[in-house]
Amino acid sequence: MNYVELHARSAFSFLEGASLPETLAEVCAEQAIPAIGLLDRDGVYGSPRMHMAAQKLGLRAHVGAEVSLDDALFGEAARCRYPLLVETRTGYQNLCRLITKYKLREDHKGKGSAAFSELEEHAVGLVCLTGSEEGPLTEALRRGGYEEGRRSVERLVQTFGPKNVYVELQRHRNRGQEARNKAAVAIARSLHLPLLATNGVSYATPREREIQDVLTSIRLHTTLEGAGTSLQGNAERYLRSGKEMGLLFSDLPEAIHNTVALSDRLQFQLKDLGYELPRYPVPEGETMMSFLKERTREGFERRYGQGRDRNLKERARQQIERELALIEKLELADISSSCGISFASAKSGRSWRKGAVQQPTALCAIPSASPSLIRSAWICCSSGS
Amino acid sequence: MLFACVYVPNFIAQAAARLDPVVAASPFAVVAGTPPQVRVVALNAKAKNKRLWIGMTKTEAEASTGTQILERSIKLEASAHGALLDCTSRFSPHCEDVADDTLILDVSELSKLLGTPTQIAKSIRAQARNLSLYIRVGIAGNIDSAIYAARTTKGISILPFGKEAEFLKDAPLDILNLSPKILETLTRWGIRTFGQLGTLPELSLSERLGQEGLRLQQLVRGQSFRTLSPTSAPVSFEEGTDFDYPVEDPESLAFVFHRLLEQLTIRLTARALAAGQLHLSLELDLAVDDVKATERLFTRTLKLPVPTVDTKLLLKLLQLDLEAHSPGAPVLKVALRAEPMRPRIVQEGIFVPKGPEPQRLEVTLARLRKLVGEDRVGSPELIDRHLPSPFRMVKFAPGAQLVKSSVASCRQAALRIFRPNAPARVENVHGAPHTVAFDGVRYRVTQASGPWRRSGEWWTQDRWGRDEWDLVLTAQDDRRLLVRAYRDLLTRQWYIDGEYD
Repeated sequence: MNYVELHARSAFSFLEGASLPETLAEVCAEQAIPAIGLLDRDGVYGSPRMHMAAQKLGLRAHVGAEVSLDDALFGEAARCRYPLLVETRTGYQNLCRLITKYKLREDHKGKGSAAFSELEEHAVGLVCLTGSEEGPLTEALRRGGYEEGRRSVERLVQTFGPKNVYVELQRHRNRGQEARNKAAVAIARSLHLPLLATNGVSYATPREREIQDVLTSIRLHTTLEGAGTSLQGNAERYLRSGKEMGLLFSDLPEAIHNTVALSDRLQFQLKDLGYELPRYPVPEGETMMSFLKERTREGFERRYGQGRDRNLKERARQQIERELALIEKLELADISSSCGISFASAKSGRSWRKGAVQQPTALCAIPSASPSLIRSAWICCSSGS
Repeated sequence: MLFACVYVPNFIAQAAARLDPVVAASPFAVVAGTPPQVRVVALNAKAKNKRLWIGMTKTEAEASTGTQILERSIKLEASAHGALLDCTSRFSPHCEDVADDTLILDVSELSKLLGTPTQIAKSIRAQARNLSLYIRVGIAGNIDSAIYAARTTKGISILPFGKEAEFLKDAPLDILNLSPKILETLTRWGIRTFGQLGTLPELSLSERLGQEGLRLQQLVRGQSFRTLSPTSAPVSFEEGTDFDYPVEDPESLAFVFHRLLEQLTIRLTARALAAGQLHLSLELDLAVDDVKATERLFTRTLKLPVPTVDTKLLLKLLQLDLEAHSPGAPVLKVALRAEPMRPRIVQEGIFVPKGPEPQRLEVTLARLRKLVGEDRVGSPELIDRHLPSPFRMVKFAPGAQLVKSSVASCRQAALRIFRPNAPARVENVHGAPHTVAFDGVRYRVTQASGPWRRSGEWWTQDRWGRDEWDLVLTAQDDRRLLVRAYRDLLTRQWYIDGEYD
């Protein structure tokens, strides 16, 4: 049976996940799971590594996160985790902005949380699951039973839209969880929402449950014995194959089918990031590349034009041509100009052009800033041309 | 200022017989030393009447018929000294521990409470009698005169202020603890009493005995300016006794316990304290045949529900505990130590339902413990760990904890657990139980829910794991049972865990 695991945590959930993204990807490939959704706690830290690993193994890596949220609906200090999957590039932008917002606010590392109004503000392009033990539905059921649970899901539907809310079901062979699942199914049926089976993966294989328990003890600053029931009650939060999940959800096959359908919907991957570098203003009639080439040529003339070793001049010319070709290919003319020129401006103590970026330190962060070009641009600038 | 000196005459003998009235009533000698130099160090009056003397050898003392020979016990002396401290602490917190047999206390402010100095001294003597101590009390305006008064009197001696020298004039000089050289000089002069020393001319005395001579003269004239240095030694409420021969009979032990407990409770009461815990130490005789005990020292600790000085209750609890946990060998020595605590004074709320009296409840629980075992009486308490049965038994304390209401999101059925779990034979069809047989009856599974997988303690030797099933079983006679069955993941064996109500 085809199945996609859409709720997995990696070690990038810092002490709440035991496996690295690469391990998860490898086990996915072994289990013939075509895609995986990595929802780390309050961040997308693990997504790049998962993306790279998945690419190598021919899998798809869906991006998402579990977003901590202090919810006033549940009374005093009720903190839930909302599992959010990115559907579109806008969704990715929204998710990153949302996490950045509350991360900037937090007093202590890992203690920040979003407000529901912020979630509403950044809901576009995201798909929300009702979550597992720490999710909003479980919290609502715990506090107010079925009615409260239904209200919490209705609110999610209002926020994300009926097509973007999935009632999540997990089965870890646990009596209490099954009771919650029954309530969740009833709520889903009453609101005509799709069910979604996940395994709330915290580790790739059952053996890693022990690692997870040790990490939990570390997180709680206690011993294994002292951690008590905060540890795993069994070793069922591993990456199950489609066959296993099919057997586990034999009474709710649509929950399994929906994983594939949702995976197909989630078109966004990290390769679709569409990152655009800041634009550098150039004189009319010039492109960024022609402008950069001209400035580089001027610098080159200053540096190597007169009374220089012919051989050295030829080597420098070839180097510059090679680097310019690379910049053109990677479409990095803007950032190269900005960095090179601002670096040169900083060195000379004046600006190449009024209003240009004045942050020479930015140069360090841009791996594509070519040393030769910067040198040329600096020469050009410092000579006053 | 008014000081009282409490002096225990013949302290070693009193300490040796304090807890044994039978011994105290007969002539006895206390011996000490390393063989063969074991000599008599103390005698009671009856032994003295039999012409025994201090310093005679143990063999000589043993030759006297009817005289008991007791080994000197530092422990018993410490216990007697502790009792003396407890006795005086009841009267004044300003108490100086001068020697094992001598204590000084400031009684300046006691006249309002207890009356005249004579009445104060009588009260102190009466309290000491309760602790099986015979004491002498001297009261004077300065510390040294009070000490000399106590040492010279037969019972109580009150020295009026300014007349100390007159009252002490006949006191012998040897109570001054003089150096042998000075004592020899004074004896050569014919000076034997306080009065004689006090009348010597100061200049001549100074020329012959120096400053020490003048100091001694001031003391015998009652001119001491010594100040009280109150001591606060750590209080230990411990009483014990050694047996001459091993004791096996619990009744005999109860008799000894009663005596020791009585002493302890009097001492605790003197300090307005009560026993919070009772530690019992028994030294056993392992040399006899058929002993079950393997350790020479047998110890038990009784934690009391409320601090108490009720001797009967303590004795009953001690007896019940020893019946439940027999020492397993004859007893040579007994020691009881009480952990002092402030007595609990609680005013019960008008709307609070009246609970059982804590002391009686404790006796009942002790009886139950004796019947069913130590770890099977109490209140169950949930343990925050993944265990097959995550609870333990804790001490039953009604009203100690508020019962929290369940936060379970679903209705929960009560499970009556079979202890031990009943082994079962289970036949599976498609991975689920189909027939179950246990207790000699075969059942058909008509409904099954599971498996619910639980495991834990993987880092210990007690690691466990099980797949649990909730099963509706139907017997051939249509009798139905709702049970919890499980398969042990380590042994692969099936068991019936319990039956749902």
